Amino acid sequence: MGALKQRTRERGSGSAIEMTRYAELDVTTNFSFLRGGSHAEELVATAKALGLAAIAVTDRNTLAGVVRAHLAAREVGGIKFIVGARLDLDDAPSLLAYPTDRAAYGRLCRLLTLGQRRAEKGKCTLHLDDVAAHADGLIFIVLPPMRWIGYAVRPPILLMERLSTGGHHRKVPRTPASPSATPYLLTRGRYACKRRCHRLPTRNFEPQLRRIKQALGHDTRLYLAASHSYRGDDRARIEALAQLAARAGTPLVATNAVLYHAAHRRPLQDVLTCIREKCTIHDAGLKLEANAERHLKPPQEMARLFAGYEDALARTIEIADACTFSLDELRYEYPDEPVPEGKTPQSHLEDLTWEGAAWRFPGGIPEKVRDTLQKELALIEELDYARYFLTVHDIVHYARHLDILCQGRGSAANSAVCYCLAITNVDPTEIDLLFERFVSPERKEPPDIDVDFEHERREEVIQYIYGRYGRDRAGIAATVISYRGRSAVREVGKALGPFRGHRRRARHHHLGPEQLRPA
Amino acid sequence: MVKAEGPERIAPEWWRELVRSGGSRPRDYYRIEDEDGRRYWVFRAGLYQESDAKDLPAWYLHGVFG
Repeated sequence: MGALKQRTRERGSGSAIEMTRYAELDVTTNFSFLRGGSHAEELVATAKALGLAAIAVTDRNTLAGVVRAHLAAREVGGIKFIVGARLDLDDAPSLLAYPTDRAAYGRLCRLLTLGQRRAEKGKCTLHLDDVAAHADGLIFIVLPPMRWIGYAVRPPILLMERLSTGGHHRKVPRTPASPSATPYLLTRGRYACKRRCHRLPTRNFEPQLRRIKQALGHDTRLYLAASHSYRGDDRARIEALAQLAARAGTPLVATNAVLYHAAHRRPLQDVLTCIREKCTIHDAGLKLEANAERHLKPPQEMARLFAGYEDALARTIEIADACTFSLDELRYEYPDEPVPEGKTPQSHLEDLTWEGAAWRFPGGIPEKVRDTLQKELALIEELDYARYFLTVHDIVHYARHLDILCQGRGSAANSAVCYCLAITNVDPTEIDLLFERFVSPERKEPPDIDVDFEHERREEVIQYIYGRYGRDRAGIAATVISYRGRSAVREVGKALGPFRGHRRRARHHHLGPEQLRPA
Repeated sequence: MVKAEGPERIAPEWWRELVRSGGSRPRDYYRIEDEDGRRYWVFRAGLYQESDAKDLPAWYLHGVFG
């Protein structure tokens, strides 16, 4: 029992553990659809409460979750947020990637775009070579297979039950701890599958790690992840990983491979796994995690788990410090609109506006409208939005030219400039415009002009935009779908299996946003 | 006991009726070896950090390795 006593002592031993700084670098949010059990906001707030120095978000082949995490980190304050992505590759183990600066972030975005465009919707096809071509300024962590070391031991003979010759049906043993759950059932899958899943990756991983190291080049910062899986072999596995890391020259870094912010999300994560794997909770077996350990853990707990591997903890801070990129550095960069010789975008916009005003008001531009236009144009100049207005004008002009019905709507209707450019049709002499609702220096976000097009002919407009800007510079904005009440109940019902009671209860159960949203 | 390996943490199957009624606790399984080289499979029901004084985790011998 020596190991157990030692562990108890470690827990009590004082200040070195208290001082540990830790950053969680392997975090899956619910933007990894049907995998992550928590919102980015929950993860960031929990990381802050636990005293983590930093938290990254690394969803699968996407950056979709980073904006919410970034805003959440700004809101709670005092915790650094690191932009990242998990790259699942077709020909190599998965990598976590973190851009250190703005340029590297651009390369990571281009890499993901490349992978997404290559594959059907919702999929991403990337190879190690693609990563190597975009690796400049990125830090990588290689994720080893979770089951990594095979055992040379035979399954134990259970004391509390008769061994049957034929296999899986045995008398249910009753233990004092748990009269209901049978130890045999709990462990059956693990031993049954041992040969298949424990042995397979062992031989292959080291050459794969070396191949990644070689492909990404020796200047690229490349680490090897280690996390506690609580599968019984953690000590041996982490020691083996540490030795491998030393041999391959890829320093070991500690993570907890987080799937949810707190242990109580395990049932939800299990249900998501069932929906993803299209099975019920009763026959999911090894597809589920065996325990609820993949939550955020405080630095003291990580220090206890990684006692003896303090440098693997320190490297989380090293990586966090090296990632200086923040989403605050990004701002919208408008396309350059071609303008006639000798004009700037602003002067061209002004000319178009006054031409439009003369067309809108053939009997002369009313004084009030003239004032409004001057005020709006001054603000557009101050905020450098002229190119955006020219882009929208160009698209609307094209549609009108082909007699495709279109109509600007929403807050843009508060603009006399939009009226004169024929983007909207609300006459500024009829109502009082509230231009500040549309554009103002206080609202630090760019204006948003919504234009509806006749839906049978919308495709023509889309093709025009592709033709004008190029297939690689124009895209249809993505939306990320999420479950709503009824569909969530239906999917959870499927996952829980054919027990009518469950579903009836779920239907009548008041599911608040807390239960529904995380899917 | 001279050697120990673990834990393998098995959390209760929360979807089972009897587990949900509160009858079960997570188990930490260890493989241990005594000085004669005999190996045992033991588990502790419950975690110390989640238990109070009157309901301490208990240890069980679950099996032996042949």
